[in-house]
Order: sequence, then structure tokens, then C-alpha cells
Amino acid sequence: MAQAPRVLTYQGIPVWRHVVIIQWTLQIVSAVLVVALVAWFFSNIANAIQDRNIPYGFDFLSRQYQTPIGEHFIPYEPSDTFGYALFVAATNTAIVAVVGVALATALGIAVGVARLSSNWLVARIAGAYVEFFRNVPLLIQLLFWFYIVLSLPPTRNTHVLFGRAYINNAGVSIPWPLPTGGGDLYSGGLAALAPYLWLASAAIAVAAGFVVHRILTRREIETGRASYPIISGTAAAVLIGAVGWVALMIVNGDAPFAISTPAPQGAFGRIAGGFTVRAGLFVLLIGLVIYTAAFIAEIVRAGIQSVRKGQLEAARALGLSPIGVLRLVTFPQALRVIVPPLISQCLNLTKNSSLGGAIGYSELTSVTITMTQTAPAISLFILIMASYLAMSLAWSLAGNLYNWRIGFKGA
Amino acid sequence: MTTAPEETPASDDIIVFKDVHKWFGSFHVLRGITTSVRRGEKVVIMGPSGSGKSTFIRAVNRLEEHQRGQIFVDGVEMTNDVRHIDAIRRDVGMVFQSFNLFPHLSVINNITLAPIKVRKLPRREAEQAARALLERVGIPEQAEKYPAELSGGQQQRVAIARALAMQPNVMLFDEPTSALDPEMIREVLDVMRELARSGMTMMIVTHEIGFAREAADRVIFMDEGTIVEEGPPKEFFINPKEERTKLFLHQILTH
Repeated sequence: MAQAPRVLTYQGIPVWRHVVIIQWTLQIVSAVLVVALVAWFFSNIANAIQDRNIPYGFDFLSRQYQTPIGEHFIPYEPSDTFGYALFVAATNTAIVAVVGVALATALGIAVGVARLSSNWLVARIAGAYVEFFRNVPLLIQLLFWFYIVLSLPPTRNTHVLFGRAYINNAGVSIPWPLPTGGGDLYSGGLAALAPYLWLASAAIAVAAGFVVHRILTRREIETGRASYPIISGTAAAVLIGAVGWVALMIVNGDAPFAISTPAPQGAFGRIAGGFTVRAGLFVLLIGLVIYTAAFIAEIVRAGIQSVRKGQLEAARALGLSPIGVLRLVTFPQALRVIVPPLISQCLNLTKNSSLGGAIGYSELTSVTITMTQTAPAISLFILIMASYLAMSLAWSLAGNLYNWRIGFKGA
Repeated sequence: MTTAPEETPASDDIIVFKDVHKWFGSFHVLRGITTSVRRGEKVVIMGPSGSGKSTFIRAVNRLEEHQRGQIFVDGVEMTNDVRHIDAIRRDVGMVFQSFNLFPHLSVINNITLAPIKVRKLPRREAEQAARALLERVGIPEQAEKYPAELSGGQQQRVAIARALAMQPNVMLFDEPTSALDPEMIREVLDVMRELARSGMTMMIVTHEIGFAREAADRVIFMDEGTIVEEGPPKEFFINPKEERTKLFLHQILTH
């Protein structure tokens, strides 16, 4: 072989044969290509927008939206800005995402475990559930639930449950604790805080209950003596909650909150009071939860089945009960397999909530579509894509942190 | 600790099989097993693969359910009664070919899991006992490690400690050294020899002839779901009566 010229060598090897140099060169060339392609794409779009006078920009965000939003969980007035209206719509989507994921996970785990049940009927019902809801398009399912809710009686002939709750084609109304206003003791800004004081005391009571439960569980494990952690924890929470209640009642001069019972009012029998889950949200949650739970059930089943049979035999041979085996041996190992695809399903549920507009729920996508009538569509869609991306990344982050925490050591 | 006081007569049978049958579908695995194991006896079970020897010892703690006949362990009959099953499983320790340690738990937690959850021992007491057992099987320094960080021989010794932690009266070994590299077989057999000397009742499925000769009180030879021949190792290995036994011994001794 001919002697390589000295200038083009690195570590005594000609650069075109040096593995590290080859790899770096390919990396740099591909990076330059990608950047050039993306730059060309966006400059093309920017030019087209300019040439055709397509409205673009983000100035509209501080303009008044001047359009009502069907449903909102934080205060909203049509005089609020576009920016704030988008935020309100995003909270609507976030609420569906969080509540939906919690319910879908619970239902999915139950169905997944049921599919593996030794009870023939239970296993078959769970199997049929999965096969049906997994294989029918989500939009069709949402519309199906929507028409079922529509076929409920109108508000003026509402169904009454237990004399206290109402179900009709506008939604479901249930009794709900509502904070009462502050007493004379409060004035100005403090009055607004009054309702939250009870929430805070309730939170303290629940936290105390958990702490007591934890301490007693540990004591039970350390000493082997029965310490009744569940009963004692509940008792502690109830007791502290009651003390907080009485204390606030004295300060407040009134019960800190009252149960507000919904009741029909006026000529059209509109339901007032209590807490109403409006039909759109109700249908969207039912549809998303039932659909997503079918996928989660399969993930849970696969996770449980991934645990080697020998693990169950060893656990049973040690005398652990069937529930003990599931809780202490099977589930901790199955979680490693379950969590990554479960995160995908959280993302799917969050993104699928964008179908909510089809059944009249004011989530991010439907509100944005309405906004395009008075604001630049391209800007709007860039914003909501970023919003969905942010929500998805939040799920991924939470899931990955959890997955990291439950990972096996030494494996 | 595991040396129970000899308050029961030596003739006391701790495990009794009466005409036990088992089918896998249409395959008749156990075809009328009748035998018994005395308290403190060490029984080695040998036989060609597929002879039903694993199924035989797995029937003792109902990892395999028998379909006909009766099994008694320490006076309790193995029936469909959950209470009987639980009582027998608490009383019988088992060691598997593939160790089956719980990969999500550290060595010490593998050993203390059942004593805490099933026997309701205080954690401190369970941990003390676990450390003593790790000392006994020769790996006290591995307590905080996870199974995947140990060698096969160490894992199997932890598995033995885990089974002993429930203070069983009977130990079952299902080919405990078959998944081990040759240099690790010895360390596991040493632990089993020590256990045998301590007076534990043991049923061992194994191909380790040296171990059987030295530690067993009796060898059971199984083929096609039946007990073909049984006897003390000296007679069994030197002077087998049945043709099938002779053929088997010839095959494993001259490979």
C-alpha cells in the first residue's frame, strides 16, 4: 500500500480511514443538511405568507376575544383577551386530561386484572369489553354517548335520582359542598380567603390521617403487633377535620361550607345549585375513559403476563396469599413493563380530547377553531400545537420520573 | 434453629403419599405414587427427564394439584381447603432450579418478605434471622445487594436462606444445581450437606450422584410416573434390582 501523505493523517491514520473522523464528518454533514432543509421550509412559508397577505403575528393575543366560551372552570368574561381565552380553553383540556387519565388508569387496571381472572365469566366479559371498545373509532363512540345523553329527558322533565341529584340532556347535577362567605370578622381581601381556610384545614386533616397510617404501618412491620393503621388513620383524619370545622365555625360565625342541593328553578326548570357536570364534559370523559381503558387493560395484562411463572411459584411456595402475590411480587415487576406504554396512553387521551368540539365541549381545539374567524389561523395553530406538546411533555416527564424510581437495581 | 427437638418417634412420617395420580390433559404424569418420608429423612429422587419426579415433589406443596389419591404433610391433608394449603405451604420450603429470587427486592428483603407478611414477624427480628441465615449459607456480605448482582451459586444460596427463613419442617429441592456453572455447584451442595446434617427433612430431585451417595438416607428412582425402585444409596447404586434402574445408572455413570 502506498505511503499516505503526512498532512492528511490523524493519529498516524489517513483521515478518510479514521473511524472517529468518518463518524464526526457524517454527523456534521447530516446536521447541516437538516438545518438547511428546515430553514428553506420556513423561509418558503414566510415568503408565501407575505406574498399573499395572509394575516400572521401574535398581536391579537392582547385583543378582546368578545366571544363566550361554553364552559369554563376559571372565571372568564367575553371582554377578556384572546390570550386569556386560550388559557381558559387549555385548562378545560387539562381538566379532561387529568380526570380522564386517572379514571382510565383505574378502569384499565381493573379490566386488565379481570381478563386474567380464573373466573370464566369475568375474564370473558373483560375480553369482550377490550375487543369492542378498542376496535370502534373513538369519534363514533363519542357521538354514540352524545346521542344517548341527548335522548335523556330535557331539563324541564329531568330525571331525579334519590330526590337530590338530577340527570337530563344538559348534564348531571349532584349536591356539592360550597363554601359560605366570610363572616363579619373578615374584611376586604381576607373575605376572599375564607372559603379556602376550610379547604386548608381539610387538607391538613387528610395529610394527618396519612401520616398516622404510615407511622402505624411501619410500627406494625417493625414490631409485628397489629396496629390497625387504616382505622386509626381514618379516625385521626375525621377527628382533626372536625376540630378544624368547629374552630372555623367559631371564627366564621357560620358553618364553613354548606351542602348546596341542586333544584329546578324558573319556568324552564333550569337546574341551579349543587355541582353540574355539563353534558359535553360528561360525554367526553365517558367516551375517552372507556376507550382508553381498553388499551390500558391490554397493557396491564401484558405486564402481568411478562412476570415469569417461577416468580409466582416461589411466592406461593412461601405461603403468600393470592392478593399478596399480586401486590408484593407480580405488580412491582409488571409496572416496569406497564409504565412506558401507559405514558403513551396518557398522551393519546390528552390529544384525543381534541375531538371534544364534536360533542359540544369547549376544549382547546374547538375554541381555537372558533377563534380563527377573528384571528390569524396559522398563529393560533402554532400556539395550540405548542400547548399540546407542553401537556404531553409534562406527562412524559412525570412518567419517566416514576419509571426511573421503580427501576430494578443491579439489572 | 431448624433442628427440631426429637419429641416425635423416628417412625413418624412427615410426608405421606397414598396412590397419588396426576394428569396433564390426557398425559398421565403420576401413576399411583405411594410412599412416605420420615421426619429428618433425606430422600433423593432420580429418574430420566419426563419421569414425573419434579411433578412428584411439586405436588407436596400443591404447585401441582393432584387429581386422585391423598397427600398428607405433617398430619394435614392437602385438599382444596385454603387453610390446609396455607398451613402446608408455611411448613414446606422450596428451592427451584431457576432460583426465582424476586428481582425487585434486595437480598435481605427477599428473605424477610414472607416472614414479615405471612408469619407477621417484627422487621427487626426477621432481619436478624435473615442475617444469621446469610451467615449460615456463607454470604453475609451480600445482604444489601440485588439478585442480578450475584452469581448463580450465590443466588441459589439466597434462595435456600429465603426458604429457611419461614422455619419450615420440610425442604423441597427441585434440581437445585442444574442451572449452575460447574464451579458453583459445590458451594450450593455444601450448604445442602450442612442442612442435611442439621436434621432437616429434605426431598431432593437431583442428578448429583456424589451428593446422593453421601447425604441421602434413601434414593427413589422414578420412571413413567411410577416409583420403580427405592432403597438406601449403597444398595441402590451398587446393587440395583430393576432393569430400568440398571439402564439409567449405566447411562448417567458412563456418559
